[in-house]
Amino acid sequence: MFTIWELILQQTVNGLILGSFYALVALGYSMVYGIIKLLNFAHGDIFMVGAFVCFASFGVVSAALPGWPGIVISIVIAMIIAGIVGYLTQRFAYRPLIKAAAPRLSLLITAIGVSLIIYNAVMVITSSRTYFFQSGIEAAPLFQAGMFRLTDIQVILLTISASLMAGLTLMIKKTMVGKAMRAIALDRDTCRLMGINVNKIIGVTFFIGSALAAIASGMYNILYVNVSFSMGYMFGIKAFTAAVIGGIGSIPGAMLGGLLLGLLEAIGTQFVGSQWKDVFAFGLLIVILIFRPNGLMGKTEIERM
Amino acid sequence: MKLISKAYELMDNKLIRAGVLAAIFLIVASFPLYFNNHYINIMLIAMFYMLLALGLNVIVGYTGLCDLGYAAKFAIGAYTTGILVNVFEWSFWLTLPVSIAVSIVIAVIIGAPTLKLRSDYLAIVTLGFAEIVRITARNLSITGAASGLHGITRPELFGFRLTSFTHWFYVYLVLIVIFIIISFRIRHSRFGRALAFIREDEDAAQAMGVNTVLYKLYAYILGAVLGGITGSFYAVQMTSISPNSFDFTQSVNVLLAVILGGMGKIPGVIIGAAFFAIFPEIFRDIPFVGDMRMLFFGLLLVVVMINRPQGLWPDRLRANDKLPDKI
Amino acid sequence: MFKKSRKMVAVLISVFLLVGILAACDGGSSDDIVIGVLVPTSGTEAYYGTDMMQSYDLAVSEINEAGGVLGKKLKLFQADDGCDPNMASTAASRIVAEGVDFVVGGYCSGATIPAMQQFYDANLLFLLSGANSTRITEQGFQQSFMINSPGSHAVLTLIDLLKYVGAQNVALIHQADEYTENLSDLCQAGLPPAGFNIVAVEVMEKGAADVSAIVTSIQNSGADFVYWCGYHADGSNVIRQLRRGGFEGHIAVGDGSASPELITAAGPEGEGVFVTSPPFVEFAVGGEAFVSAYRAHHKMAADDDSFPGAYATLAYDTIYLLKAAIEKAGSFETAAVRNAVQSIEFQGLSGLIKFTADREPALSNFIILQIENGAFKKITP
Repeated sequence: MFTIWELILQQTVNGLILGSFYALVALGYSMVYGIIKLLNFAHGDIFMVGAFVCFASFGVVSAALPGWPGIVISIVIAMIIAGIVGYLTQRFAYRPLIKAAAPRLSLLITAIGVSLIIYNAVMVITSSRTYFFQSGIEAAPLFQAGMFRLTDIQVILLTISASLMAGLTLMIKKTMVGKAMRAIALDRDTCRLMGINVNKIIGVTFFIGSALAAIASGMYNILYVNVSFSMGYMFGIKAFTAAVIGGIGSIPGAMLGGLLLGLLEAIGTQFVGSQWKDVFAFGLLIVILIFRPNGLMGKTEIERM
Repeated sequence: MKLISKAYELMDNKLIRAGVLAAIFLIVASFPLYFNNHYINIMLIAMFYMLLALGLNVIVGYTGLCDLGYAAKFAIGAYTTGILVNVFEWSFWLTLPVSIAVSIVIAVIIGAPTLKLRSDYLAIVTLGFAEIVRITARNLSITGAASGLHGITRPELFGFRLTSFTHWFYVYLVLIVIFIIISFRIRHSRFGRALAFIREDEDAAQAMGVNTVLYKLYAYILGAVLGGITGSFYAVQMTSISPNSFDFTQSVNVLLAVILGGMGKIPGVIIGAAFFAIFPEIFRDIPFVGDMRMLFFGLLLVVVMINRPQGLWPDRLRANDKLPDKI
Repeated sequence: MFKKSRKMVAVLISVFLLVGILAACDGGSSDDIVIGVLVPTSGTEAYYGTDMMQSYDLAVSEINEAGGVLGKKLKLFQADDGCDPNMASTAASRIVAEGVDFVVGGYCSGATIPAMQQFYDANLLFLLSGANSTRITEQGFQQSFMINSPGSHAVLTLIDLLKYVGAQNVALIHQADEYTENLSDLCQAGLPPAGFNIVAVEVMEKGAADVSAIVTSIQNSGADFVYWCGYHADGSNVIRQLRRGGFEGHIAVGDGSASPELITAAGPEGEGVFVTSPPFVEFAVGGEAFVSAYRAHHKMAADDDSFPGAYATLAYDTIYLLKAAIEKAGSFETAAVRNAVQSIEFQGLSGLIKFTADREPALSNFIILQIENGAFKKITP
């Protein structure tokens, strides 16, 4: 049996790991929302595509490069392909609607349509089978105190997530592309007048968001192994929820929201029971939104000008 | 294009319109004479989606609120009826007022504090609430937990038990007519115009003295009640309900039907629902393509949205005026 | 651009209408005896549905080659229930509208139950090859028989296993659907009277992937035995995370996880895991002949070892049991065949099949398997 502190510590680690996956995927939702005010329903499916590409390329690469080098290469391939898929969805499905100034709900439905296309295409291609990612990496306990244990994989994954989030924050703050993204989020038409290639920046945003999801799915493969066409569905909804808790459109908000949701689920499982954990998480979400209508870190803004 | 506007003009004549509607009704009402049970069952599913879409249309189409959790509204009606009929052995017809009352109470509890939220936040609140309802139904023993309620007694009408698909076809047909009349009356009332105002420009509506929060709440309650009634009928028609029937996919399905058809337009919504229910059924039998039916559906959805962002048959008010950049 | 895509919409719609007309025109009648098959051939459980369908197909073609039943040929009509209650309802109405004479199938209990009412309304005999929630027979439909052993038999097998390994404190994990919850409920009712403690009951959503919080919770409950009531895809994940999280007790999985894929997916952590399993064909008398007939019939490549799976024997037996019942009744009338099924004693691949008054199998067909060196091994406690 655990002591109560070991138990809380262990569940906190469990929650942070899950939460960092949520956060990486939530970032994609939030970035896209920030720039074109679209709830990109297909983002969960991009995550799934990333997982499959990573699985397939590892199958090829691992013969020559087993273990971590092979995994890193397959994740890079997954990032590129998922990024391209993300870009293509934007180019062919969303851009015509944005150009025509279509209502927001039509944009949402288009995103659901894109999600259906990706989901079912992968379902047909894989004949709805579940695949198993055999990374060949064994988790070794790095730290053990009483019943509490921390494995090396857990530490590696947490470090990667933290550095990705820090890197993204820096990029948005310091680089020209990041500045352009923030400017477009504020006022697209003025940006166009100022000579910013708005379409290109939107495309870049989709690419980065999708690539982040692909990194998350690669790491997810190492830890959870199962790869199936339906893996992005519930996960996408959770990440989307995390983005909203944090304040959709806000980059630090998405990170905070993801980690918080992961923690809530782990603590909820332990102290409320696994069958009620989602009621607990969603209930808290509603309470947070009642008291902070723009999420934890969202800015108050007027919806229509 | 000329033909369409001509048709619209003709339809403005009350007599012609009544004639056309009566003809459509009679044709539809005679379907059971020449279709077999399987086709009637598919029609029942289409009609079920029509009822849900008409209910959701009040929330999404008329008021412009984004609701991603409509499944919860009909789950509440279905479970209220299911429990009262199965556990307490009530007559089905007596459960209807209870189901309406429960729908109102829950709509107020969830709507009152959250309807002031911006639309995307409202979307996630409704989604979260729907998940809470589904998981609660899955965990409690009175709702039959994961297995749900089975063997719900079918109701009697004038001493005649409603069992076959044909019976239910007519029950649903009558319900649809009632729902259409309700929707039509709302659309053309002072209340309906206030809702349209809120949908087009909430701030302006508020500035003009429309109590937007209260009106949004009314619309939300009304949508919930229509969903609850549909759920009650669904429970006794299917005779078994389980939490799986009320998951997020179901909410999305209804929303797709409303928006694909044309928000706020009654015939549009009905066509959207019919299309949604019938499309996958038709493709199911074709080898190879059958597995990809939902892929084609997604493609079609994107193509329709790109070419007709307002849906297949949009409300005339909305179609004509190009709104300023609403994004 | 605009005009072009409008044309595309027009083309799409006309294709849609044409297909609709074609679909409405097919069908016809013949002298064959048509057996409706309700199994999932799409969705997450498509593997099992396909396996069952292929076994039915093998049995039917064997019977037809040998001259049919009472001089008539058999024919199958399959409808996909997608393991989804709503899809099952349409699938059932398709089967009924086709005018079939008998119905077999049923894999997912949650999808099978909504369909049963329609078969009952149409007075069709329904033999369920896979679905085994005890709530199926609780419906009281007198013409529906369960061929597979219900979850209550699994609990008896589990008790044997618990005694065999000497475990005391059991943690259950289910997936919050009809079948897995039923199995968990039956364990909660059946284990304490036999002297075992239930120390935790957890829920893992289908496809949820992360179970680390549940693993910690189970370790904290002091369990020395975990029984996974769910399906194999998530089961392998649970096994792996339990072991990586430091759980050292015994792990057993239910019949929903009885798939060779469990072994590959769980990897080295899967060693020593027990399965309360339906009668796997490898362990059946005459199983080898069945496997080679199955593979030949479906022209499977030599290196393709994906089929037959755990439910193939039960599906195969279902058709032969139906044949035996029809021959015993001497007619194709539902009532006569139904009574023949009720009193039949049928020796199939999966063992002796006969029914209780509740239309459940009287004899358990459960066996215990253990994963040893990457393969299933039969255990007799």
